[in-house]
Amino acid sequence: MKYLVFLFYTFLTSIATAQNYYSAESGHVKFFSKAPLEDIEAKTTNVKAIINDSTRDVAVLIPIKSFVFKKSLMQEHFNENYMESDRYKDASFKGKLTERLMLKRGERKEIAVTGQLTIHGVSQQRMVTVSLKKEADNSLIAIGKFNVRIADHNIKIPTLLFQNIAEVVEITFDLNLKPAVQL
Amino acid sequence: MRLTSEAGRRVLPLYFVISVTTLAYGQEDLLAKLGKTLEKDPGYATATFKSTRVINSQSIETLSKGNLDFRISHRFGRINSGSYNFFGLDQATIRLALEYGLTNSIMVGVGRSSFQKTFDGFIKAKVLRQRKNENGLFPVSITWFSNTAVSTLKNGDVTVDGNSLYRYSFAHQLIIARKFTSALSLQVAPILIHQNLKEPGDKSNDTYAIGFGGRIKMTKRVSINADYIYRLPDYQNKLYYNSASMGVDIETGGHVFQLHLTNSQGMIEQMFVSRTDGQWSAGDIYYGFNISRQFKLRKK
Repeated sequence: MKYLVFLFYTFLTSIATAQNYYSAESGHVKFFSKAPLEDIEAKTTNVKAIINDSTRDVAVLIPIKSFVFKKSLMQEHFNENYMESDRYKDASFKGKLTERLMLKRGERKEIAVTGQLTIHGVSQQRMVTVSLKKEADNSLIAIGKFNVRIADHNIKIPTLLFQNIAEVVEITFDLNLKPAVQL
Repeated sequence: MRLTSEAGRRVLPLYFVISVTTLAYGQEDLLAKLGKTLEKDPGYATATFKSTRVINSQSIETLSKGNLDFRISHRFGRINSGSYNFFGLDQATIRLALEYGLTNSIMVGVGRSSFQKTFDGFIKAKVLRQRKNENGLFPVSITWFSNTAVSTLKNGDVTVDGNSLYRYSFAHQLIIARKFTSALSLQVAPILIHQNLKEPGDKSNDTYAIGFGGRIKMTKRVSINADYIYRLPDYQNKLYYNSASMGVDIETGGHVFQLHLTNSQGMIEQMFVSRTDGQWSAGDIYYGFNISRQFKLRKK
């Protein structure tokens, strides 16, 4: 009897350890803000993301300094004056899928993710809908967009520049996640 | 199998502890895991100064690749010139310049000063950059600067063998700066000026000097700047003074406005390092400003 418990327990823990991870080494994240004077747009491909399908946990991490602007001066101001990227190095999201993936190959599903969005050192509880699609090679494509009100993250705009910068920034993402047993 | 031995009784609880921790490992903070996989930031100090000039002095900053900077620099007359000259505002000298970033570390520029109708051309390059990362640090940024200036003022006084080489002058400097905090940056620069034309009081055609400069940010977009240039005693022309300036930088998007008070009227090295004619203590102060407007010419 003890032997049976022993065996069953070993079996159970090994299942729990072999989690179903999907991890993205890269992807595209873009932010865009429309303002009367000029549109502001920046892109990065330096995105780390992971989904644990067993626990429904999701995490995304982006180094702020990796965002590239068309105008280098704008990029400098973004880092120095708005995001203070020496102090707040990364933007992150940590949350949970509201349901398990349960995707067949070629199938697409919209799943809401809830969690903490941290930008400029300020965390906000957010819900974002992600479109997930399982490809033929079992990889996962995650696409979505959401808006960030920059005042919510304590990012200040001086009155002199008010016309130049929108109060709401649209963020779009496109991640390719590969299946992995362990990270 | 019966776990009756003394050893077995001890091993079993241990086994449970290990397997439970493996289970817990599965719940580990995903964000912390991701952080470990991030590429390391090279950790370069950026925006040590808001502009390529501290006030008169060159700062260690260069323009980014493909950026064109149109600079309008203005020095009014002396404040102590009295109410008749509206305290200097009736007169002005100006330097107009176009400066361009060839790469992210090399820039060139051409300028025209109304003072002595002088043209100047320069090259400036970042040699080393201050950085701090996991692999170590380098405490300062070093930038090299050289220029050539030629005065085109019609001059009946000087006759030099029928050629015009006497009109040329040169400046070279190494600028060493450190961004101590996000607010405080300081720099020091050994400077060599060579003037082909010696003026009365000049001990040599060369002037060696050390420039000091710094800024303290008051807000994210406003800083207080100062620079001072000390001419080494063996090269001091006593008819001129060391240049000292202080002012404010105001940044608004693509513009930087620099407003300042200085005892130098010229805006290029050969004028303010070795030919500063004002004396602060006598009230020979010029009010001036630099306006910098950057344009992006080449897309990334």
